[in-house]
Amino acid sequence: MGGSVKVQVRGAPAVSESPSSSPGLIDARGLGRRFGRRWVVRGLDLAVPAGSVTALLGRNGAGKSTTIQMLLGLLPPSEGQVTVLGREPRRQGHALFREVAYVSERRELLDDMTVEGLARLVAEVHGARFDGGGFEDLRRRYDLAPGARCGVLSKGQRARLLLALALAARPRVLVLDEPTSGLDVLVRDDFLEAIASFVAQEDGAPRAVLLSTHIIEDVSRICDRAVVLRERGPALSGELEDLRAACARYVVRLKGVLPPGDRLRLPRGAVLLERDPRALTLAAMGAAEHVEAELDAALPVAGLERHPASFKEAFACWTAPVEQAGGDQGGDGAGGAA
Amino acid sequence: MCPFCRGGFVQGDRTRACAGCGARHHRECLADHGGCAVFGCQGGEGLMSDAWTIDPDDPVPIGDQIVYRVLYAIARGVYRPGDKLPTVREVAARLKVNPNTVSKAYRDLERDGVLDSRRGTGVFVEEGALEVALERRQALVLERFERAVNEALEAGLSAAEVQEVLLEALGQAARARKDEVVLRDVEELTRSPLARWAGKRAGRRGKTQ
Repeated sequence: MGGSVKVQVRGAPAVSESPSSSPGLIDARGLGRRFGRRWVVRGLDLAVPAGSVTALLGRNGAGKSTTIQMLLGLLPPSEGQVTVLGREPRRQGHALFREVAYVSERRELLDDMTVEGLARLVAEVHGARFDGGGFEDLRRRYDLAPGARCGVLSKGQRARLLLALALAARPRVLVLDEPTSGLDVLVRDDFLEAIASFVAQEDGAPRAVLLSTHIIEDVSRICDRAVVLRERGPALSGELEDLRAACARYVVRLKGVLPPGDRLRLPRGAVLLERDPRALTLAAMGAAEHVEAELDAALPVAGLERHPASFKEAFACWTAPVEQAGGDQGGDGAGGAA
Repeated sequence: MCPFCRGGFVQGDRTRACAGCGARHHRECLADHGGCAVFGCQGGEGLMSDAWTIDPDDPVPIGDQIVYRVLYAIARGVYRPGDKLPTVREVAARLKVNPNTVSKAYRDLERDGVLDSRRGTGVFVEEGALEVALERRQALVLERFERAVNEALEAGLSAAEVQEVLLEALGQAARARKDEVVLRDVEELTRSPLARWAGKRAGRRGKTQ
């Protein structure tokens, strides 16, 4: 209970700040989607401000792909509103994709076409907006043979080709759904570099990237904001550094020895990282005094140290299950926030 | 002189030369820095390939890492007052980091009087940048120093022992650098009543153990 309250307090200023002060290139309010009776996403407020690279994070099955599909108008939401570049994606149909490029994790290409042929097709669809010269530069840089059939390209080459095509369409919003999962570090570097130069183009036009990924190292490098989807709880969102600073790693020295089999009673939202007979290492989110008081109440604490959390530890805190006992309430809370 | 800590080499120091530019480093400094500390050096095998490198696993936020990098480059004289720095976009693409992070780092450096972007044609190194860079460096070293003192006490060393080690290290460094002023200061400190008392006490402890 305490966990979710603190979280909202911590996240509140950043969340309320961004949509009102500068409207996002992507905005969602009270977004929800239900499959049958099961809500996959509910009560989601999300904003991707101009100039930002926003990470969409969450454990497997937290609803990231469902969210992206709703944002792109590919899946009708059960409740809530979405605007992309100020317009409703569902009303725009294909027109949306003139200014929004989407690279999905499935990396689907027309396998019988050549690299060159596919580029011509995409150029036709986009008309004058398509940057043929820019595509050629990227194609050469990514070492893609123009005559190669898409069907024979490796995973990394497919990803690079899709990235080159997406950038050549000169979008204002780039949506990447797990773009580099299962790819080697060099392809990942290409994506990171492309994202960095994409948002920093110096023509003054607002651009933004929404990136869903499991690779926390990429997130810490390239993203400045994050939206974390959580099971049974309201999503967290804010500046990435603030979200990390809301978490800390605690080393707890215990009075006496803790038998290895003993069940631990940890404060809600705390994530156990290491367990030794006389000490525990945990990560937790929230105000330090509050967490320390909770640890004191739950464990025979002899000494306590607090350290900054790494991004990995912070990720574990963000996605820690919101307490079961309050689980149903948490769902209501999320709905009520919409 | 080691390009990282700017200290001299004393006999017995473990050193290693960068395969790229040949500059000699203390091994510890090389490890600390993650590669050759000569700004702009492309490094050799196993060394850093680009001076504008950051470490995403470092608990220091990436923006602060960029700030330190720029300050360090200025302290080393690689960038001098009036020189132009790469643009935000160039740095972001090179480091593969968020451009907002880079521009925030540049803004922080501007606020501290290190950089100047008022001319509108780019970001330039300010006149007083070197002093700020040196000041920051001293603050950083002192911080490490305090941490080391804390660790020493935690490890069970006494105040006298810490002081003795410190004076010895100072003397050694002064002799290696042939720095008369520091050497005289060290001798003066060693003669002080506290130091004499500490010396005797440390001697006694040595015998009883």
